[in-house]
Amino acid sequence: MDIFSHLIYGFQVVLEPINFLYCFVGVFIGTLIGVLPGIGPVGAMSILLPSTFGVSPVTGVIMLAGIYYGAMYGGSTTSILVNIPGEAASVVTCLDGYQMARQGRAGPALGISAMGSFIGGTFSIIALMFLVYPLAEIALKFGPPEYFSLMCLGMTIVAYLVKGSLIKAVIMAIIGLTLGCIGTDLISGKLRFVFGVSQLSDGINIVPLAMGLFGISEVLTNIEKPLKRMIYETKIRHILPNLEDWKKSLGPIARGSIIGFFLGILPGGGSILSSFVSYSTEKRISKHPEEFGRGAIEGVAGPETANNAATGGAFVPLLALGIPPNVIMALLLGALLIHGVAPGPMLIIKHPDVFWGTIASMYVGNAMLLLLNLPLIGIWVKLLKVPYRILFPLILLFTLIGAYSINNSTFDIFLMIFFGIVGYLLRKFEYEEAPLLLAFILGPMLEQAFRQSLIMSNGKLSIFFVRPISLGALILSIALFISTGITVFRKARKEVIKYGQKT
Amino acid sequence: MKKNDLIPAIIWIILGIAVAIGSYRLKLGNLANPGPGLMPFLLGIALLVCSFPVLIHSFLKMMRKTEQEEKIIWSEIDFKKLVIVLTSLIGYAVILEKIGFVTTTFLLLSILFKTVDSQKWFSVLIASILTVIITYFLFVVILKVELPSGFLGRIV
Repeated sequence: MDIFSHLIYGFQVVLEPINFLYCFVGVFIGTLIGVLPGIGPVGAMSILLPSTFGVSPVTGVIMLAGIYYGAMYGGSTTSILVNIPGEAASVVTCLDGYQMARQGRAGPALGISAMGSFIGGTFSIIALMFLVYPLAEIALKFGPPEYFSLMCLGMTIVAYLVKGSLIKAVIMAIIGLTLGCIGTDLISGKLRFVFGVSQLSDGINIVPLAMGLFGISEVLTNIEKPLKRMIYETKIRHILPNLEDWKKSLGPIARGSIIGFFLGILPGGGSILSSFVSYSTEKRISKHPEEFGRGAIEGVAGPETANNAATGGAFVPLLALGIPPNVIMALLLGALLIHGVAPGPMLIIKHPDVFWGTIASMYVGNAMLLLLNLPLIGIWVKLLKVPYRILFPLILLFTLIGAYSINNSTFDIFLMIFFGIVGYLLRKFEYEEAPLLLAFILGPMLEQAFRQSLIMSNGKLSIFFVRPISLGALILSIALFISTGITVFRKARKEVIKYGQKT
Repeated sequence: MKKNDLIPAIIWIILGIAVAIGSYRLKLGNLANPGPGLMPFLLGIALLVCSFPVLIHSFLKMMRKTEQEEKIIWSEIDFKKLVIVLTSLIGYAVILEKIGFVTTTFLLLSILFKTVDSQKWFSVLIASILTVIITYFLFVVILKVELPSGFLGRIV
């Protein structure tokens, strides 16, 4: 089949020494930040974004993607051993994983989560490969109105699933879109909201914005409440799960793969939601639900598989449509745009190395992670003990160097500190930064689609409503908004969010 | 929503008005031929519209209960640490190009390690020197990032 020759080409791309090295660095850093407290994948990816400028786009994306799925592996280690999720998608693993560790079964818990992650990750990559092609074919027929409406729908779902109030999330998205307008207007060439600052004429750079909102503000929030972690001291033995463990886990892993992949495609929820849905599914269909929460291996295998499968799903809308379904994918999009590579249906044709290279790198990366996480688990456990007071000056230093290195100018450092303070205040006032960053990245594309649609239709707004796909997306967005006004749905939304983010 | 929502709501309203006025000056064009100001103008208006529910909600809450579960936002802030960290970051940006990466980074790390850990100066200095050497090696030697060398670099 055609796909396989493409895939072999993808492997050739990954096996180039530089790409192989960056893939390893990516998954290594990913596992590291999954294990270490106080910095999540978004912060780490934005700090490392400048380091991808010097290499080819495919190399950069391979590394950034590696950080993302690497963090999913690392996060489960802390959930099991410390009862603290390394990142939000591993919250549910704490329930049974930590209990298993306390019963002296930390080994099989870590083992099954790594194996499940590997299987889920691999499944989702295969599914992604088969789904992206036909989807991109369809997307080639999309015009500006379809893109405009789909982007609106994407942002609506992200805002809908953010914890806290919907209106606040919408406000954040509007602020993000407005920030995206700063700089030179692409169509008329006019400067907008630059206020005479020449460095702003190309717009706000995504790196200082993301590092400020997710790196600096995270540190500022963390220094006021010292993170205390109690590590469950236990010898980790029998990493490989025994036959009985496997028998119990096969079902959850299979279901987790499918749940994860399809929920991963949806905007907003991604890996967090899928791990919760997998857990509750397993609990509901289990013959002995009372064991859940007391160290049932199914409660580790299912969710851990699901959150890794979701990472593959999340690539579908990014690669096929060029619309990122969550903040992490938005950062990847930002990295591609910096290199002048526009994701979307044309990506496969114009930049096959990026497309197939990234997909193949995820196979290679998943295999690397298995090797990194199983035999070397002891090293990661030691790293758990690194205190935050040593980490945070280093995180700050890396953000400073990263911001400076974009243009060799201190302007970007000031910009980053400014957004750090803004992000810190937003957190204090219970506003979520994720919709802001996503909207900021989508902003210029959204505006272009909007204006092109209007020019196409000679100023008739009806163009958004007569095309079926565009109409469908808009109706769905509006329905989501209205549904929050109706009590029943408001309760349902609260349930979904409570369910998804028990952090 | 709480009383704490009042301040941001007011900021959003001011921001919304400012964006709308600024965009109006950029020329809106018309629907058939949208100008550079159209999109930001709509966004400014949308921001304004969305701020009002937050504002009204916060007013209603304030009238109903007073001084309950408030002050949460500001009570846990460690102002001393926050100010030290922020000033040292800004200071870093100010003097980086004048004094050079090595010296500036050493100063920053000493302050940060001392502030949060309040260890003995000796161990703080050792930790800072080590970190400077490692990061210099990582960024300048391996990753070839161009960092300002400053006066020390010029002497050497």
